[in-house]
Amino acid sequence: MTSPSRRSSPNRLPVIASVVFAIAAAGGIGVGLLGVALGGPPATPAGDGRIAWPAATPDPLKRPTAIVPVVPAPALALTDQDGRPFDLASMRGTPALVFFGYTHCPDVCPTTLADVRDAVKRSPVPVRVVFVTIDPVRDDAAALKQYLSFYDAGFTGLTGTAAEIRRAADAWGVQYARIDNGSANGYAMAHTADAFLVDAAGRLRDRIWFGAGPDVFVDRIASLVARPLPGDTASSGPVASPPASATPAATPAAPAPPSGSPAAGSTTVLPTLTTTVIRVGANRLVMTVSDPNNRELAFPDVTAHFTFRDADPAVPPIAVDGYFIWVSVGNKGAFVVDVSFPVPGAWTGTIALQKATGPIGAADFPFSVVDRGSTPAIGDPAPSIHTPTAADPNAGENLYGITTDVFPDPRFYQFSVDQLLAAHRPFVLTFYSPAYCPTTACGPLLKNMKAIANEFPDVAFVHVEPHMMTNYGGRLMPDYSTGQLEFNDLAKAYGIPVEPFVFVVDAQGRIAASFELIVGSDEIRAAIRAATGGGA
Amino acid sequence: MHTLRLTRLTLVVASVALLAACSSAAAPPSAAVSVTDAWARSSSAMASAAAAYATIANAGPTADALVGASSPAAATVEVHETVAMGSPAASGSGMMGMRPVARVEIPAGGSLQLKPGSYHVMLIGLAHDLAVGDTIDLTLTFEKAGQITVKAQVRAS
Repeated sequence: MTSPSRRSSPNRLPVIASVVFAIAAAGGIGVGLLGVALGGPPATPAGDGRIAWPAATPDPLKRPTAIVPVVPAPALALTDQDGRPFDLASMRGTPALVFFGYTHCPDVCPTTLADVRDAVKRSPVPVRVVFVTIDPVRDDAAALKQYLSFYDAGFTGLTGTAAEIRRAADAWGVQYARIDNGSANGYAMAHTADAFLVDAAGRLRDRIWFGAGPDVFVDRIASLVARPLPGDTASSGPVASPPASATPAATPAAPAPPSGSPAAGSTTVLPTLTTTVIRVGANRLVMTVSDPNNRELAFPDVTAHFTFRDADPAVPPIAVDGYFIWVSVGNKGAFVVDVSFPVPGAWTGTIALQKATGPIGAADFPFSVVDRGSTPAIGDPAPSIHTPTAADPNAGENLYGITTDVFPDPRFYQFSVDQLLAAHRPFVLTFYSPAYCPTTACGPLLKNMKAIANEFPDVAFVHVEPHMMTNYGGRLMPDYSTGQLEFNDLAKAYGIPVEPFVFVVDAQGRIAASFELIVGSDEIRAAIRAATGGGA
Repeated sequence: MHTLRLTRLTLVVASVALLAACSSAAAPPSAAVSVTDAWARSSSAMASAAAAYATIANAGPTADALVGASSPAAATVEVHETVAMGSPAASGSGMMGMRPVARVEIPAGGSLQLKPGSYHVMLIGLAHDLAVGDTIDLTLTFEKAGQITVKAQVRAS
């Protein structure tokens, strides 16, 4: 068999991995994304009147939305607008657009509903529409029925208990949080406003951003017909009929080497070194790998062998095996290599990937080694800084005055770094912004760090927002006064060039381990055990 | 309630006009700010809130600011901003949030678009259905230009 399930139209390929990664990043428990002010602070328009994120592609029709590899749509079994049980699986045979919202939503949800209504009218094939409330407190079946009837009597509205809705949203990588913003309309709900396109065989195919407009919806629906997969016909292929227990996480590693695949060892490997602080002495380098079509090459059953050569041939080359970590379990992998460089300068690395069935491919990557990086090195004393704690007067009731995490874990705001250093307590210091992290690595980290903290009750954990922020009415909002997010003095004290950044500090107040950007949970566990002399 | 609102509105307009008359400025301040392309999204009166949009241009030499809005079509009118929360939409969570805003500045010679997914006027407690083809009065209040009332067309999208 070939592997068409990993194929997509050419204009979508460049950011496929990042789309999948984004879903993975969003997939965990409440990846905190709350930056909403309570009392209505002054807003400063930029350009058209709002803070504008850079558009990925100017032409919306060319903006990538495809989800690759193709995975079965997550489960969606709730109660419909007539109070009857509904399962998305019942819509097999017809493509469906699934999105989440709430009926008290005056701007975002009506925009999407109107776009979708127009798109469905113009679609070359029939499409079902499923609107899932993330506000079950106010949106019972009757409220949904009334709300949706204004758009199209054929739309399906789903509600359920708070727990059922949270479970469904988590499965779809949809985040939401209540915002008590003082409006006469009652509380608002911040929520993931992307729409998901599920094909007739029940597979997740596109994730369409808010504001895309009806043309993009029509285009993506039409391209479902234009890019058929096995299972689109009456006989179901392997992807189309996943066992009930199948999860998207199981899919990426599953495909066997296709018989028609390129000769062994001939895959073009495109390595991306995500580590930027590389210094003389011990380093932990992290590398993601894909092929030219942006297909993921890092999987648990792939081994990575590294060779490092200095520009000076007199310096002996270093050969070392890397190890695999999940950046986001089931979706995005990376290889980590622990390597010590004897001299600074221009180095060249070679990564060679291999499976049990034979070599996959190899690639070189140049990088620089500096004498001392911007962050404290292993063994250096941890800089003493006062980090915000729950005791700070502006921490606020929900800690929203010191963190942008929607569901902050009080453990991370119990002690300041200077207190911990003075008390000679080992601790884990995490720099990242749950709400304003510019990389998708923060989402998985947020989820994982809370779980890890529970496993190590005797180790202190500290979370620090690394950006310049302003407290508006009890909530942190980013300070864009320079036109972009800037690191604050706490982040500068540790010299972090990117976020997330994690430091493990031992009882002597020395850096025992540091992790830049991509961090595996097991790596952190091992580093904590090493720094604390066992435990857990 | 609407009568009260309109009465107050009239008083404010009158006082703004009076101020303009007293000032020696060449043009009345309201000439600097214009509101065009006002529209409201069609909505059932049963919906808790509907949104209205417009383009505001400030041709004057000084900045002005949108500080409020009202309409006889709704019990309460607020200016809100929809904000993308987190990283760029293509690689982030796609999470959108909303907050009321007290003041939105329109720079001298600049413009502000109230549009879906951005700043919008929120009509809370609709007096009646907003049916496609209808028009509603929408009054925007500016710090310097005072109140400007326009007809907003009700559109499907």
